[in-house]
Amino acid sequence: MYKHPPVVFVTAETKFPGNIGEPVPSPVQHAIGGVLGEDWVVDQVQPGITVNLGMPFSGALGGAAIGGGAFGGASLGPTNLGGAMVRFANRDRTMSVALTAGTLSVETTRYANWDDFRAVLSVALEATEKLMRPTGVTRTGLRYIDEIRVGAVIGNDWSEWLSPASLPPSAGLMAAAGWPPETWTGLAHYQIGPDRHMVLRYGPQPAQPGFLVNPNGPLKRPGPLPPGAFFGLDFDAFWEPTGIPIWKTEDLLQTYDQLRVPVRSLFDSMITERLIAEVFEAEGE
Amino acid sequence: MPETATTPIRTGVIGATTTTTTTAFTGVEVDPPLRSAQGTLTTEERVEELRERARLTDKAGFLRNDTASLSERAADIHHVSFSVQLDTMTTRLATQSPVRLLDELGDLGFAWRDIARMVGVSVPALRRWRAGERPTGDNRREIAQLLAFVKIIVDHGFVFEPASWMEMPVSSAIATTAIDLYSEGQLEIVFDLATHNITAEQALDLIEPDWRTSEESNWEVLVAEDGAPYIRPKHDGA
Repeated sequence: MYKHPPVVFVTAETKFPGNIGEPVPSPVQHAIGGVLGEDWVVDQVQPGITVNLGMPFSGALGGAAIGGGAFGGASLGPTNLGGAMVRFANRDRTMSVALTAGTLSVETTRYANWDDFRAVLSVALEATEKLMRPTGVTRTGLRYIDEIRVGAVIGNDWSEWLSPASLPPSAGLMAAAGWPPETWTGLAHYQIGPDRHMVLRYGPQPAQPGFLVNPNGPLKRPGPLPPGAFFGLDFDAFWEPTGIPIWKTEDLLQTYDQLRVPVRSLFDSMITERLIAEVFEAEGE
Repeated sequence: MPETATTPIRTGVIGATTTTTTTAFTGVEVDPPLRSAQGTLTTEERVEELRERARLTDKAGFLRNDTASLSERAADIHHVSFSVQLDTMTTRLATQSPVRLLDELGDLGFAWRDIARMVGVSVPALRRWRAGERPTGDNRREIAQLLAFVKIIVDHGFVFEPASWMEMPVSSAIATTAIDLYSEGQLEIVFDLATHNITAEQALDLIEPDWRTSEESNWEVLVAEDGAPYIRPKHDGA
């Protein structure tokens, strides 16, 4: 792990047969807190939370504010979720475990390393297996969101920091001709195994709003948000089995281990040694 | 090598919508190959999805309250939504043990005689089930349905302390309780009362359309001192 890693958000979502939207059974709501331990507290699902967790990509890829929805042009105000989700957060609100009648999500804004994240994921998967007794698994997904920030970048000239594969076609040639790329967006889809895929969305991001993950969202981002433009990466590696295999926590953990590998490989291939040396491994804060 | 790397066009909530790409060669919008319709959602994206689902039911309620001309259609939507929700929740709850379901109903404050009435069995039958005897499949579903129904009217935020609410006469002028209506299979009417979409008088219209004129009716219409009409059971005295 780098001294200054660019990862700002990681989520692992496991889906299982169940009607998402139905209330999580009350006994489970009580019991899961006990399984997670005293370091976890119930985190109310507040209405109207606005996060910007996506890829604005010059407006083409959404970037829609989440929460505070409206109907017919007029806000209806908070919507009662009726216990459809129970969410626990750690005490510094940088990690959460959320359960619905059909999904389990473990996510963090303070990603230290895979082993630590995996340990919490393991507890949450085991608790879900024990308490919800899922009849199977329909999907597992692992998502990494990175914000690469380099103060020295002028305009959108990322050529010193990202490998050519991450730049727009003929970026150098066009820049040399006096036609530098202003912005670009990227979407790539990879097959990473049987029933396994990875989608990458990437591109430079503007200084406003200046983040992919809202620092004032339900999960807090550690440290002050660095200002300025940045380069966004959104990796989504997932397994969607054609059938509904039996839920086995150990197998699921291994699946997550395997999903992580191509994410890391692709990330490493998209950056330069200079970025690592001068940004990710730079001395000081 | 990536299977595709084209111009992405994405609309709506991140992660909750299908991403489409425009191929460079044909200009035809297609779904990205093998891309799932819904990506890995963050909790906040999942919360937003849940809110959207909840709004579907709320939407029907708002339409009914605010738009008289659309009332009937909104009522249909509401009832369909309610019916689907009730059915799916009943099915899920029915996987749990009847003892647990009955205990949860008891914990909510329902008297065993009332539970027995609404399930359509005797109190001794309940007692046997709580002691471990298996109910029939139909009765198991009836128990699950009752709990599902109670959870729905609570979860929609309209009824607090559902047991005492259901024991209460639906109006000061009517002795009938929601438990009475439920026991007679009038679940939609109880749901409508719980969500404030019909009045007690409208409920009577639905249950006994000729109650105003029928000599057989147990109800009578009187006019209060302030000029407002009200109804009450005939046996209630002057």
